[in-house]
Formats: sequence, structure tokens, C-alpha cells
Amino acid sequence: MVNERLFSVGLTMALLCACKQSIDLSAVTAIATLATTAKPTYAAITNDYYESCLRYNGWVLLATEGILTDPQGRSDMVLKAIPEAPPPPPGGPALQTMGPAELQKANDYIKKLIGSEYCDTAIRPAVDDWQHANDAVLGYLEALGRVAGGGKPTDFGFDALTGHITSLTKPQSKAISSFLDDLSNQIFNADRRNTIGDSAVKADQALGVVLDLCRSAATEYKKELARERGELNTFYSFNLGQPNVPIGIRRVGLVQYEVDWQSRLSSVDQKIAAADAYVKSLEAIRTAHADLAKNATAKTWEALYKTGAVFYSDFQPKVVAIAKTFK
Amino acid sequence: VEEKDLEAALDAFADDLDALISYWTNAGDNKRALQCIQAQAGLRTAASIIGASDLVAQFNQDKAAIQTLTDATNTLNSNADKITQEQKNVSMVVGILNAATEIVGALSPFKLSAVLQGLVDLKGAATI
Repeated sequence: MVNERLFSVGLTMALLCACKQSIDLSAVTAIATLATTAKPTYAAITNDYYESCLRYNGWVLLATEGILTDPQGRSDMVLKAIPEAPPPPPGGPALQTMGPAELQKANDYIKKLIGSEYCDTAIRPAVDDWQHANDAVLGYLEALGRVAGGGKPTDFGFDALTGHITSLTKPQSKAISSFLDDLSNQIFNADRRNTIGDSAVKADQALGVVLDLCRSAATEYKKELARERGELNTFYSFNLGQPNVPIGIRRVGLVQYEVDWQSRLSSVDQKIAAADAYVKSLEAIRTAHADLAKNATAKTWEALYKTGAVFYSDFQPKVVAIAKTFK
Repeated sequence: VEEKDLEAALDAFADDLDALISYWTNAGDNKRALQCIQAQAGLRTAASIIGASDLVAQFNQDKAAIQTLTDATNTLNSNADKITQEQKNVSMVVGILNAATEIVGALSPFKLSAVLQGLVDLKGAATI
């Protein structure tokens, strides 16, 4: 009779544990896993703020370096001739576009122009602060995941222990060991939930402030991209807008430059879209964490699964979109 | 004038110069067009520096929030380690009991569950 009752209680507890207890912690673990995935993506987008500054100055350099006289004497042509590599297209000199060497040259030029490499002295510290804030946010989410412990129940070894009791049938032994394993998991999971809940409530405000900072940084990054885009347009429209350009460059050459121009604009536009996706991913974090804090206060742990699921569907596509841009 | 406003004004002024650059370019006066391009670049560079400096100032102003978040992270990591260690302790004790089969075999199932429940409860002290 006692054995039957124990079996019944054990089975009920096991079902309860399987259905309710592990789910919420799994949601937190899913959030943490996504945070780990987002780390390199966030780092790429953050560093591109600095890179955009360099690219912008590259276009400034190319647009203002000076007028090169066309070898055939058409002195008003504002074409940047490349004498050796890459060879000019048939029919005339080529527009110079940017590679690593030009970026380096641009940086040297900035130093001459304003007395310091402002991408290093002004933009870099902002980038470093931004990265620090990203690390703080993602590190916090990862730590939540560590406390959640993967959301998988631990096997404490009760199965082998109860197996030694000869007076129990196999199902009874199994039920008791499951009960004890689940009971232990419940106790530890309660610890995990309390730790996560306490932290969520305490850190929610600070997290909000840091997310605001990240958002401001993304806004500034987008402005830098807009400057890069503007200067890129200036370079191409100035050169291709010359009334006498067709004299130096064949029609096919002009089309090639137009394609190049559009391609570069598209690349910048994709980065602007990536910055938007980044901001949306920050909002997904803000919403998920606010729900976490709310659920922790209300002790409605079942709702945590929903929080995790919503976060996953909101956050994950944004990170994938950003990652694709910076591949 | 706030930094944000100044930054926006400089960017807007720089954008406005596009029309002037186009005008001189179309007129074939590249010297003036280039002067405008240089002015435009100067305005954008100034806006960029102001924006970045303002951003750094914001980070400095709110660095306490980053520290609070970092502290919370450290506490969470420490608690995660603690819980993991406690779980290991329970597994270890169960393993020891498992090895002592003759003792366990002598207990009735009901008493066994009480003993094991006691062990589980003990884990709270994190000393077993």
C-alpha cells in the first residue's frame, strides 16, 4: 500500500516536473545562447563605426586630392588616373576607387589635414565604450543562462541507488528514483529561479540605461554611415558629372562606374539596415528582460516560456540579418 | 546650442552644399567645386567629431549603470558556480550511498525515501 502510494506520488511529481519545472529555465537558457551567438555580430557592427569613419575619409581624400591633368591635355578633367595597376580601361584613364592602400593613405591624409587621426582619437574611444556596453549586456544575458543551467534536469544517480532495494518492483524503483531526482531538481531549480528573479528585478533599470546607450551609439553610427554615403555620392557625382567626362572615358566605362557607384551605395545602405536591426534586437532584449522581471515579481514562472519564445522570434532574425551584412 | 543640434546643423549644411557642388561642376568650374567639396568634408568631419565626443560623454555619465550590470553578471556567475557545486555534492553523496549497498538494502523503501529526502534537504547548506 505504501509502495503504491509512493509510486503514485513519484509519477505525479515526475510529470509535474517534466511539464512545468524545466521549461522556464530552458527559455532563459535559449536567451543566453542567442546572446553568445550575437557577440561577434555586435562586435562587427560596432567596429564598423570606426571603419565607416576611415571609408568616409577615403572618399574625402579621393574627391579633394587635386585635379590630375589628363595626359591628352584635357586639363579640366577631374579624373583620378591610376598610371599602373590596375590598368585604365580602354579609351581613357580610370576613376580611382578605394582599397586598403587608399584607406591607409586616407588616414595619413587626415593626420595632415587636422593634425590628428580623428578616427583614432575621437571615434575609436566611442567605439570602445559602445563595445564595452555591448559586452555588459550580452555578458549579463549569458550569466542568466549559466544560472538557468541549460534547463535540463540533472541525474543525481538515485536510479542506481533504488535499484539495489530488492523489495521494490522495477516500476516502483523507477518511480521512486524519478521522484527523488525530480525533487532534487526542483529544489535546485527553485534556487535558480530565485537567483534569476532577484537579479532581473535589481538589474532591470541598469540594463535599460545601458540599452539606451547602445541605442544612442547605433544612432551615431548611422549618422557616420550617412556621411560616408554623402561623401561617396560627392566623389562619384563630381567625377561622373563632369561635362567633358565622355571625352576621357568610353560609354562602357561610364556604365561600369555607375554600377560601381550603385554597388557601393547599396553596401552602405545594407549597413544602415543592419544598424536598424541591431536597435530592434536591443528592444527585444529590453522587452524580454522586463517580462522576466515582471514574472519574477509576480512568480508566474510559466509565463517565462512565452517570454523566451517571443524573445527568440524577435531577436534571432535580427542577429542573423546583421551577421549576413558583415560576412 | 547643444552638441546634438550643432551636429545636425553641420550635417544639414554639408548636405546643402551638394547643390552648390553640382552647380559649379556643371558649370565646369572645378576649382570652386573642389573648394565646396573641401568645405563640405570639413563640416561633416566636425559633425562626426562632435557626435562621437557627445557619445563618449553619455557613456561617462552613465557608466554607473554599466558597472551595476557588470556586478549583477558577476553575482549571477558566482551563484551559477555555487548551484553547480551543490548539485555535484548531492550526486557525490548519492554515489557514496550507492556504493554502500548493504546499508541501503537493509532499509525499507519508505525509510530510504526519508533518508534521501534528508540528503536533498541538506544540500541547502552546501556543505555535504
